[in-house]
Amino acid sequence: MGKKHVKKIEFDYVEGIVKGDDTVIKYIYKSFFTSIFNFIKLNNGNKEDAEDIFQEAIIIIYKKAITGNFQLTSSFHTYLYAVCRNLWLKQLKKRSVGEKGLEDTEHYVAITDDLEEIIQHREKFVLFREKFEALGEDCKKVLRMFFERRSMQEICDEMGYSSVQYAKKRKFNCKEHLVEAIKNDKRYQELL
Amino acid sequence: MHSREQTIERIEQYLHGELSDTDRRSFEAQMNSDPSLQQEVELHRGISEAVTDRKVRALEQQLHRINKEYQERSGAKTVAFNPRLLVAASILVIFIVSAVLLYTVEFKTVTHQTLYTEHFEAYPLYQVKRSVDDTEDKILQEANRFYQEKAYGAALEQYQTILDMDPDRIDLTFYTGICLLSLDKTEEAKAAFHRIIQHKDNLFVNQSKWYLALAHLKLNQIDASQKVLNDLQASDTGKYGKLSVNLLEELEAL
Repeated sequence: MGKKHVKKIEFDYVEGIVKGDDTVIKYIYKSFFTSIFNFIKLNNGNKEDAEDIFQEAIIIIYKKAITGNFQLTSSFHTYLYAVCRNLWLKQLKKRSVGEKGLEDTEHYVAITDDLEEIIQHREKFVLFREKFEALGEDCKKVLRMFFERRSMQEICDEMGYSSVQYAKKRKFNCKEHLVEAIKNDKRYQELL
Repeated sequence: MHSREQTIERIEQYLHGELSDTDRRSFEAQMNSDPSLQQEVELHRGISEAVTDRKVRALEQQLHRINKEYQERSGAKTVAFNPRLLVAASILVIFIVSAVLLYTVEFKTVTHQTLYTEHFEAYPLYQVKRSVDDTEDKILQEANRFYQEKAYGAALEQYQTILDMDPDRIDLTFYTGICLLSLDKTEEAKAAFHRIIQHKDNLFVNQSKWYLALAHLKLNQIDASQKVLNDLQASDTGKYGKLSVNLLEELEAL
């Protein structure tokens, strides 16, 4: 019985991420998580940090890919490593772990595209979502409907308000509440 | 001066594309000259996106799920590297291996015992010489009677009495050997048979070798048994040679 030679299939990882393909994403974890974990471990991080960074990196790559002009010039692994490295460096700075340089475990190819912009945008996204989720249920419902472009009349009816005017007032107050919460968070200040 | 509420409404109209071209351009000009307004517009744009982007939220949930599954699976693998579990696993392995070995040994012992039982037969009494001495003869008769009745303990006692009086009775040594073997006094039986084999000048050498081999078998001394059987096979072309070949084959088959 001869040995079966299985040809290693190089997935289109980016396409898999964009499509939300479970198989591809599971394969990404299987293939690359350990190497990222090793890098993070070597640089003052733990497993939870590695899990967070890994997830964030995939989302960043997703956001990059949907802008339409994403072309991988290196291998997916190299790009993923670079994104993770970027994210981790930022994280370490936030934790004020000091200016000690990162120790690389893989070949690092600096990213020259608009990655920084995307990361910042993502950080804002995470912050805004966090503050939104912290709102009361009524406010969340009103704002969700508003952002989904439902008419004030619809919102008024749905929420059982007395008038459209009242609905507008409620919407304004809820939004202001959210805006205040965001502006008061020092993370927002740092992102400006 | 616009109230806050009016400013926000304006921003929302702008973001929703509800402003006329003129109004839009004028608003954009305002934004260019007022960085704080621009910031506010960006903030509201960001909030809207954060609340409505379903795709990213779905991706986040998907990644969360896949990560959890992956960590659980690889966590299960690393359990093996927990030192305590390694010790426990080692003990379990040793236990299992011992159990298997014991079973194997036990099983083979049972099989050896089965072979012994299959082959052992008390040797018939046709070669016992009658005694010249009357007393001795009476005891001998009694001993033989016990032997026939398989009362080997009693027979042994009587044979021993005669042997005390007449140590040269090699034939009785042989029968005591059989009695001892029947009584599970295997080491003593072996000694008796050894004596007969060493004596050489008697008619019980082949038989003694045979029973000696059986005695070894009974004690699980397989190598020793095989040695005697090989010797017997080489030296005897008769009954015991044949029996030896047979038994050797059976031992080999185990």
